[in-house]
Amino acid sequence: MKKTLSLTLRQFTKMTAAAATAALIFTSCTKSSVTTNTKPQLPAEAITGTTLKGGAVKGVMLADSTYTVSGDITVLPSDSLVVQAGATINVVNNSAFYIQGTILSQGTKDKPVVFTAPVQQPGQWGGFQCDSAKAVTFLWTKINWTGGPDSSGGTRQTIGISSNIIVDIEDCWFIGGQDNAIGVYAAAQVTILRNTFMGNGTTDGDAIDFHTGVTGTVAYNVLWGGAGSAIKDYTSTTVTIPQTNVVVYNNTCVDNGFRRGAAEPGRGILCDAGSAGKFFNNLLVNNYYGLDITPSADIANVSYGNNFFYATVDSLRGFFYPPGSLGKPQSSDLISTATGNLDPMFVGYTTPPDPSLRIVPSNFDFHVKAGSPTIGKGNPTYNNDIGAYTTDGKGNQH
Amino acid sequence: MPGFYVRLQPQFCAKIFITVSYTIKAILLILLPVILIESAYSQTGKISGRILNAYSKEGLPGASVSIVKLSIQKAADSKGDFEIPGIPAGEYDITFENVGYDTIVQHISLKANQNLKLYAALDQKINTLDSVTIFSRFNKEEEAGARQREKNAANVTNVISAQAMVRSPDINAANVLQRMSGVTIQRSSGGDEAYSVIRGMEPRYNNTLVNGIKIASPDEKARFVQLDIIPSDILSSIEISKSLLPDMEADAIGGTVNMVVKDAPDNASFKATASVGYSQLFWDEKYIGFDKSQIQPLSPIQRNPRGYVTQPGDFSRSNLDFQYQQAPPTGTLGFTYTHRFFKNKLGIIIADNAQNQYYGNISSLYSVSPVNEAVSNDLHAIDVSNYNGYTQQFNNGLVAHVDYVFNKNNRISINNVYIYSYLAQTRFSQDTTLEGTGRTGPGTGQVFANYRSLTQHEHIENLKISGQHLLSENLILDWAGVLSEAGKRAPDRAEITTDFLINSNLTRTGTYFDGISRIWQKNDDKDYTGIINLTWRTKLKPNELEIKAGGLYRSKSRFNSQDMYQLNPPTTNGNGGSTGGKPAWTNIYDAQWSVFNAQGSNAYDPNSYTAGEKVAAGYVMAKFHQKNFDLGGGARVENTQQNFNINTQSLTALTSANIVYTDVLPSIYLKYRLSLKENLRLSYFKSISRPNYYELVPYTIRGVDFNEVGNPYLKHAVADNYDIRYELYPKEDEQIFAGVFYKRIQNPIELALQGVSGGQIEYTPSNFGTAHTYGAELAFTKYWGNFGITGNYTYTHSAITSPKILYYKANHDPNLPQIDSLHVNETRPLQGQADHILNVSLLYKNVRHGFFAQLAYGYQGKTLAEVAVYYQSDYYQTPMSTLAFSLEKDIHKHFTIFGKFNNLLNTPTTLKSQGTLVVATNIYRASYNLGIRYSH
Repeated sequence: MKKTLSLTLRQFTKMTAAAATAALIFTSCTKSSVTTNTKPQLPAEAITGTTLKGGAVKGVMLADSTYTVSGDITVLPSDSLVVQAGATINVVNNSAFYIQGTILSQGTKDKPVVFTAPVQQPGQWGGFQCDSAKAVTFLWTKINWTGGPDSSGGTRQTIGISSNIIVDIEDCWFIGGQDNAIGVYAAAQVTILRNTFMGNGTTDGDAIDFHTGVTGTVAYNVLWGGAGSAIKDYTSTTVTIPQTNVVVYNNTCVDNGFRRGAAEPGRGILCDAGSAGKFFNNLLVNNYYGLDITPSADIANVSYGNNFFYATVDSLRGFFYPPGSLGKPQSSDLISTATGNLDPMFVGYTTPPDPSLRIVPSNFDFHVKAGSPTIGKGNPTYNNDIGAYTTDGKGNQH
Repeated sequence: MPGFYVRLQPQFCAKIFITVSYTIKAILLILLPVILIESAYSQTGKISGRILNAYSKEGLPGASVSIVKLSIQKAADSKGDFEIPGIPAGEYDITFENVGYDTIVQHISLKANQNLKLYAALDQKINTLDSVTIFSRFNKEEEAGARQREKNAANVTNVISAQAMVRSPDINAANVLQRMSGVTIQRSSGGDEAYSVIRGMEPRYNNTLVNGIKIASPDEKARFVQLDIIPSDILSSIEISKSLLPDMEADAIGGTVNMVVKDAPDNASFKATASVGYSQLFWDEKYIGFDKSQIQPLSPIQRNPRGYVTQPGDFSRSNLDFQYQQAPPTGTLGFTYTHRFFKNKLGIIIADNAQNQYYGNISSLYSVSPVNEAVSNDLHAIDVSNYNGYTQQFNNGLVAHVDYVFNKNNRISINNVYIYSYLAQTRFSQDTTLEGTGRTGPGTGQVFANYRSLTQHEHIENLKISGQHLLSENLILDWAGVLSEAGKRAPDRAEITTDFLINSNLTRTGTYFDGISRIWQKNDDKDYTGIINLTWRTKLKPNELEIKAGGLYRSKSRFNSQDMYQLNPPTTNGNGGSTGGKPAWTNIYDAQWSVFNAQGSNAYDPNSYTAGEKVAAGYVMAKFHQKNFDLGGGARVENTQQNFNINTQSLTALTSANIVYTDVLPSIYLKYRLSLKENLRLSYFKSISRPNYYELVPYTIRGVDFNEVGNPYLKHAVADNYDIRYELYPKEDEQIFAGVFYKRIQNPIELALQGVSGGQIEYTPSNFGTAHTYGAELAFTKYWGNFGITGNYTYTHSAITSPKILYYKANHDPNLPQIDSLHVNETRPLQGQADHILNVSLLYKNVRHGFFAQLAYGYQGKTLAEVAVYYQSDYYQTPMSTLAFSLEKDIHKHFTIFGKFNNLLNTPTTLKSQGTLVVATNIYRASYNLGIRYSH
């Protein structure tokens, strides 16, 4: 923190020096000169201490700064926590962020925000528990190694939402969490776009788990190697109104659903109990089950098509649409019949899936090569292409 | 001795004052000497025989026989028998006496070597006690005495005597209570813990006393005491007070259950009992047990230094190794020894009763949810959990009592009751999804199998020191100091979860290891109570006025701790790399796991809290006694301070609170004597019910679909109670009671739907405006020669209004009070209320042959078992009938054999929602017990 702050000071000094020089030039005709110095313009509620030991925190975590969080942080109902681009937050002692107010993480493509732990293994800290949050926004933010137990031994989602709020998660990375990466247990309105989910869930947990009344869009996400389902669309059976109804399109789901065991196979996309939704242009490769629209889904209000199914393991091919479920192959679908047939042509990928991997192998790259059969086969309402990486550049930016 | 109690049992003391000076001449009735002459060779003879109750023909234990001329006095044994050998031949006056009975003097002529048999039948005095005495009493253990106490009590009571309990099919207090008028027993699912519901009022509205003093609770959440752990053999009677007097603790709206433990003896006696039994269930099925030898009493962080990181090897395996075995028989063993020393000044009693029982249940529990709220409020089952329980319960009750009579005006007693209960239980459950993920049709879907082992030790100890002092002719002082302690230790409740899937083609996957949870739970509850009462009375001939005042102070502290560990399939393999997920399940010894929360949950566990309560009470009451009526009343003031402390991880949650309130509680009663055998009672009293300790603690327990949240703002309930009862006592052990009652309860407390937050339904204990309950009770006992019938019937109606979930668009009833688009108000009975309760017992007794038999039938009508969150969907226990049978036969002068046979109809309990949807079933099967009693 000190280091980054001094950097900022140096930059500021340079800037003032430059400005002063310019002023000098313009006023050089006169003899008099005025040199002014002001302190750096920090945000009104800048968080300047670099170690946060827990308690109520509000204000701004500064750009390009490094913080250590060593105790549970609570953002009170009337408070906000803003994290500026380039900030790095190391979380230790299994600490967590309890958001009762607002969180806004403002990473950028060039300067992502990073939340991580010194030990690069699942379950190091408690993530963002936004049970009663007012608003949750994460942009270009990496959130790694979450899922440490809560005080009563329960698992913790990377981002858990339990209130009816607006949730905006775009261009983020979720790596190696122990449980769900995003779990929404409320009638929230979600926008989950262009994120990358890698190796989440140890023996359980979905990358995205909507549990009730959720509405919104899930698109252009890349979801690899999750324990359970990549995207789960579910309406509480006890509170069926409002129902979950989301639009899920152009997601690339690869190698999901193996760590929970055959008794609870994970799905690429699961549309379950009382839920409605639209499921188009998704690329589903080597998931335990592919697209599962279960008998308890609100099938009358489910539409789907232009989904792409591929498997390199013969036994998985029978579960693209799992038998007994309501989902059936659509004429607009692209369904591979053998390894090599309708290969989506990832830039980098090896098979078969290895459920024990929690970090994506460096050679994996789910962009598709030119000539991929995914290109141009999408439902144009959403995109002309299938999968998260699209030729029009609107897709995933990672 | 009993007098020593008197101050502490207000209804009893009231009785004394009612009867004081209300003298009716004793009536001598029958004297039946039978003389047998035997051969005569020595200069002495002996007398022997029995002292009987003239009406019931039952022996009178402890009655005395004396020969004044020889200064010989002897007490009859437990059957009323006596024997005095070595009496020189001659003429004597033999005196037969018993407290509460008329004295008989019989003149005899005894010859050498004669064994003169004498049978003295004593009549009970009508409205006894013609002089002021604080020590006299009726025999609490006899039914006839119980009737007298009901009759003479100032308030509305029902009493059951030890004699009736011994002869009933029942072996614990819970079973006994469920045959009493207006009482049903609420059992936790699985049937282990039993609490009383009185007049449709849940356990929270009743209090439990031992010898008139409130006892600490071994329950980790509530303040009430589970009744199934108290062996009925240590009790001399159970009294239910349905109306309160100012000198009684005020936190009872339904009623007060007072378990009167065997106390001060009049004479020396020794009784012992032993029985064996079996549950039908274990003739039908194997018992499933587990090894207890490796259970750790303390959790890993409790038994290791601070900072210890829990390791997988810290958890034992053998208590999750379940073994099928043949259940051992059930057994009970008990004795009571009484004696008086030093010219009867010092009395002691030691009684112990141990019960070791094996029982089980076969149960199903369904989760239900709306089929389609947009169309209707119909529910359907979405998940079924079939679970079997296999339980060993060992209960031991130990009573020790010492009293010392300094003189006729002063007496001090020490009484200690110690109850210990051990429970070991295996529960196997299989959870099958009926609707939802993984299910594609009938017989398919995910199945979670759970195997749980549990052991727990509970204890209750109640030590009371008390004294009674007749300060003057008009003034009585009595006092008591009580230490009551209770606790529970439930070390290492261990549960494995495994799962498998039945595919759409009905093939089954392998079984996977899902996880293990281990919970160490303990709680301690400690009360210090001090009580003092001063009674002043005067005779305004022929009337009497009594004024009584006193106070009580109690300080309670409670400490709860819970430490939970979650053991998950290993996250790393033997080489340190990540594993590929859940492993296949083989057995507990091969299972590998990681400790998910190595720090345990103790620091922030919602069940780790401390709580305290201080109650200070004072009262003044007066009673005017006149020939035809008693009029009494007064007021009690109770000041309550409750507090709690809990660690919460949430920065904004409450961590402690101090709650203070004071209630002024008036009461008034009139007992009008329509005739010598008839009373008409009218009473009004105000009483309260305090929230349970745990309910105030701001915990949150997150379930899958339901959260349960504590409520520090919960208020105590206050009730106005009205009673009218007509009583007829045709003969001394017969009765007919008919009464009606009405209660108006402000701020009744129930676990309520707080709201729906997203998909999570939140339950919280809440107050609900005003509830009303009214009903009628009828109780009767009647004998025809050797045959008798006893029974009771109660009708209860109650109404409370609370919010329920209903998607209003789907409902077309414009009169329904709508709260918002998803909620309406519904009026329903109070939780736990049954509409009709009927108990009828047929009795046969043949004193001559020492034979007694009882066939007990019970009917419990539709009972609101659980309040559902959905409109018109509460879970009702369907009406049920139970049948039990008991009999006993004297086989020898000192021995009696007996049999107790319970649940002969194999009555299941069934809970239904919306009329027909089954939400739970429990099957227990019959149980049989045979035993032998010795008494001397």
